[in-house]
Amino acid sequence: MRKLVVLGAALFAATFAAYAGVGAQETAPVHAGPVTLPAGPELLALQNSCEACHSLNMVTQQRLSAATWKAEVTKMRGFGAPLKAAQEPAVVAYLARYLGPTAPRTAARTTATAPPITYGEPPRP
Amino acid sequence: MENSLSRSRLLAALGGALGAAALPLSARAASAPLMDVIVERPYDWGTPLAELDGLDGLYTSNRAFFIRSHMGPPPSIDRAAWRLTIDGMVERPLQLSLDDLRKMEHVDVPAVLQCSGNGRFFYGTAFPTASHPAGAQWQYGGVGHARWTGVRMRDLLHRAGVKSGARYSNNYGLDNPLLPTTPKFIRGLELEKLLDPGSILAYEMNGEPLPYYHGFPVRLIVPGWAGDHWVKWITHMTIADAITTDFWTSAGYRYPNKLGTPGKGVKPTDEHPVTTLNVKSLILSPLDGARPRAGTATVVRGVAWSGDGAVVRRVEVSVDGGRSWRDADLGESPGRFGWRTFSHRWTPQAGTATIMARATDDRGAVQPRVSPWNPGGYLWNAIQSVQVEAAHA
Repeated sequence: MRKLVVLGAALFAATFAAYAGVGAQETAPVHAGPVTLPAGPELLALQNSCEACHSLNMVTQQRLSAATWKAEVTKMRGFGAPLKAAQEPAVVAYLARYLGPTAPRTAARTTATAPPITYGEPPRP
Repeated sequence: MENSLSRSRLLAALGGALGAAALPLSARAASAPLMDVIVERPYDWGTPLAELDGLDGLYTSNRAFFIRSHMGPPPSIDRAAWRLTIDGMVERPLQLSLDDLRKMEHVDVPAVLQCSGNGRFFYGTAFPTASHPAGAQWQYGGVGHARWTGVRMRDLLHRAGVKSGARYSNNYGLDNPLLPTTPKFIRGLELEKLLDPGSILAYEMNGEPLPYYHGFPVRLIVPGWAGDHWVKWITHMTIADAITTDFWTSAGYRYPNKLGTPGKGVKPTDEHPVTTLNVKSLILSPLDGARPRAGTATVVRGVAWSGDGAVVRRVEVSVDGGRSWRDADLGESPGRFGWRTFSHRWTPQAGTATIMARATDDRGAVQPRVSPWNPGGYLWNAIQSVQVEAAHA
């Protein structure tokens, strides 16, 4: 168990270090179905924080009010998302602006081949 | 089915000697189904409608079964070292290996597994201007039907000897967070539900060892209740007089005590845990956008189920957008917790048609037109609409 926690922390540190490196560069906009998230410090903050644990499409598929985005961001910061308190208002405003309830969305989903069945460990990519 | 069962028993016997490395035979499935990617990482992958009855026309195949975890599967599991601990308010704490479980009496339970957030996407369609419920935007495919094999929880609880005053089991599996600050996945539920003879610790799914993504080597089966109770990679059950205060029970997977304004949040203290599934049906054929031949008989078919042991007793089909309804033919019920098939012969006229199905269970619950908005977007069970356009050949 302890080993797992250490491994998790190490993985996180490595991931974070990788993103911190990207942080020095320009970001590209993210195209998520019918929505384009413009490049900028808010997008970079989202990529640095959210993608430590899950893909950004977990975020971009949602259409939430500013109050609900704030609740989500606060919850995730509590979980350990590396987003500074000072960044939170701008990030919430960005999410509410581009991923609010009336932002366009699609029912279309990408598809992928079902992973092979394995037992002792997950399938190797 | 007979063959695959005996093969899996053989594999199980071999597995003890050879370890998990000897097991992945069914990885050579004939064709790999496509899945709908809901969340890329960690996997939330849904089963396409056309695959839901891919095994014997009644069950969902292990390969195509929807995948969901909270934080992702553990990096690996050593089958020989795996143990399940049952402790807390019991006379005799248990520590069980997989072989210990396999030596006990086992039962087969056909049961529908559905994510409580299955259909969350449709709240956004039904209430377009309100905040959509937060969470993965599942449409239809966060559900599947399998035959689960394992040991009755009531036999294990009897063996452990539950002390008086104990009311809950707080259950932990290796669905572990990446960050030490993220809460581990622990879900509590009433012992009373675990005493139901359908509640089991399963080590087989559709006659094969439980696949890795579905909780290898053992997961909890809580039939009729939402998937968040079906703890995967389970290792620890703590019997207690109180339900856990861990995040995933005290704040996650909760439903408002009183329905409020769509789009508005509700304090977790004004909510209760999501437990039982509700009556629901899915049309598996024709699919949305299909172009059947006008004037030629075709079949509208699908599956229907309910929650907590209620059995679907009627499915009606409409081919005119809900103006008129006809009773569909029902397939056998595979048990209190399985789904049953329905079919309805129909000869389309040229033009567009909206097909709907509406299930009723034996407690009188009927699928609604729209499910009530709730902050978590749980338990969507509204009537599905399928648009087709029939044309002459």
